[in-house]
Amino acid sequence: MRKTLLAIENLKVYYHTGRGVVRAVDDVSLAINRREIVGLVGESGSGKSTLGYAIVRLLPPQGKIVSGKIVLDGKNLLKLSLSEMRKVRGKEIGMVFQDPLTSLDPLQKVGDQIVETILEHVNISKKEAYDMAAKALMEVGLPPDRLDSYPHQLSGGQRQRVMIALATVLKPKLIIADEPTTALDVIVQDRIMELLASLKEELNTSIILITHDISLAAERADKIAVMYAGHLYEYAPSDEIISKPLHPYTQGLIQSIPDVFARKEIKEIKGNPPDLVNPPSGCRFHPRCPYAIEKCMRKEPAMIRINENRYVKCWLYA
Amino acid sequence: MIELEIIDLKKYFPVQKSFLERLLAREKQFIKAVDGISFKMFSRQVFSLVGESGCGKTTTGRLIVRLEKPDAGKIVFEGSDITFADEKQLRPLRRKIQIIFQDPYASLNPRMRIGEIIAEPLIVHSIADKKEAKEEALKMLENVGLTPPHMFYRLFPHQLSGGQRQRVAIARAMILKPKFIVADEPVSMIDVSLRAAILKLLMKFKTLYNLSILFITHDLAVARLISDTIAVMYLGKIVEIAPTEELIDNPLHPYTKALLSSVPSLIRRKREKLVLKGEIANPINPPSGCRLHPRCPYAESICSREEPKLIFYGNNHYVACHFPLVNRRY
Repeated sequence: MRKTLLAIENLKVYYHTGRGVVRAVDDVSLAINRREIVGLVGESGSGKSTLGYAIVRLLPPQGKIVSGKIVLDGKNLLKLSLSEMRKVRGKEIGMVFQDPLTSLDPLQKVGDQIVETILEHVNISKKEAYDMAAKALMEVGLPPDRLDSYPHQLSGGQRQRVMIALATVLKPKLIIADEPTTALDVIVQDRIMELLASLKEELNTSIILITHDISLAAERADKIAVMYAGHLYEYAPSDEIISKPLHPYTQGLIQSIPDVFARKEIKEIKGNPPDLVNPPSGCRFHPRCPYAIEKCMRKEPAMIRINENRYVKCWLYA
Repeated sequence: MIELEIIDLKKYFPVQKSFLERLLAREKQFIKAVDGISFKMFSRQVFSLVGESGCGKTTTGRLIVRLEKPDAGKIVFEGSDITFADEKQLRPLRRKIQIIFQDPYASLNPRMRIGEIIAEPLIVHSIADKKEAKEEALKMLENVGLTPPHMFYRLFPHQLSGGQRQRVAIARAMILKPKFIVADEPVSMIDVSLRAAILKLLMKFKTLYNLSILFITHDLAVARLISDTIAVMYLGKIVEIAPTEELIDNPLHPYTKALLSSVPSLIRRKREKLVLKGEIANPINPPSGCRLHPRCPYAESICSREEPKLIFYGNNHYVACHFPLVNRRY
């Protein structure tokens, strides 16, 4: 079995809007190993969610995958027909979104929704599917009688557990979790993250954790990928990226956030994130970068390999 | 000096009843949003109210600026009781007490120019005429870092980013040179890399005007950064108050400790986790005694019978718990 589960190669995803073309994901390459949690970190507009949705090919109508490859277990997902792709979703890739209220059907009982997903992919009886759904709910810490609940009868944390049950019931190879705990309070967030981590161990899946919170990623992910303005700027094991961030943006991000257990001064990153209809030339971070040199303005830096596990896209390391 | 004193403050919101329930003449129900809280704030202090959604922190802030009418208790600001002051009596107070809201998209009038939004309070309070107000607003724009001020003066809110809009909200609150600010989650809707600048801006005004700030947040990391004192709320009650570092290094209430052990942090440390059972109870029918008791791993029978009072534990540390974690150092 290959070590790499998912390989994204030179992916470009553009949105065609009234204002022009938004280059939301622009030439991103990223490899994710089996049984690995990768934190995809960035601010709003960085392209992190677009990247997540592109993997399962669930982009909004204006969004187009312009070029690149997304290879899951040797299979290029971009070459699949729509019906083949539908089989991949749910079965091979599970999805957990930020707001379970909008991704669960409000008119359908939780159990029926899980059963429907199961029957779409596996040829078993309805009764067997119900047993599977009940088991899935127990796995996520909900009593099986919740099968008969409607989404509105559950709390935010419980709904997210249902989403996770839905995403994991068919034992996918990969789970994409897009801000799965952003709408939740910290205590519930912590429990949901514990749950994801334990399911990862049990099911031997990989998880892409899309989050704006680098502290959360640092605690839960094996590796962190930092995105800014549609580019992937740094990719490294979590410990290394936190203790020794290489890219000036990663450094700035870490310096700008307060920490409950540290007495520290925070420093803001000057300026604002760019408009992706008209991104800055060269390195997209150069207008905000304290170390920018003339070259940064002119030429986009290549992704530089520091060692087997560390990559950074910055002229400082070329 | 004591700037603000809150004594046994209460606010209950009636629960909207359905037609059927009204027909059946069921008993009226209330959400006990704030259920008897007391605290003191010293001048020039940043006092943070932290807690999860529904704990009553935002309602407390709105009661203090009197956007809500209290049901019981006392709010004493600079020595005078403003609990039930009417609009006329509140007028001079509104100059001294300002609020900054969470959502910079909703709190600014979309039809007004940025400059007018900032200048308006000066005109409303008849402090300046139009020309003076404009000059003040331009100075304020410069002060909050929206430069060139003449350009920003003419823009509308939709032309600004979230961070810039929050700067406008701060400018509007500060133009009256208030004494007291309620800041309700002022950075939670702003992108991470821009939060630091907004927090720094608030602190700049704090020094400039000798402000006292009541800071409302769910984010303990932000609370730690800017506050002198932190009060933790749970289901309409204050469960613990202490100076910031003391609270974080030595939490006495199991709820505070559970919160602290759930916050993500970049500091690698051995985490002794305190896990609470279940979920937050319904604020319509909160648990008897200590409201945390059904979830607390240390609860004993007294906890369900008797409500613990906020008790002094030294080091300016107060806790409402029958079995505080005194010997369980964090």
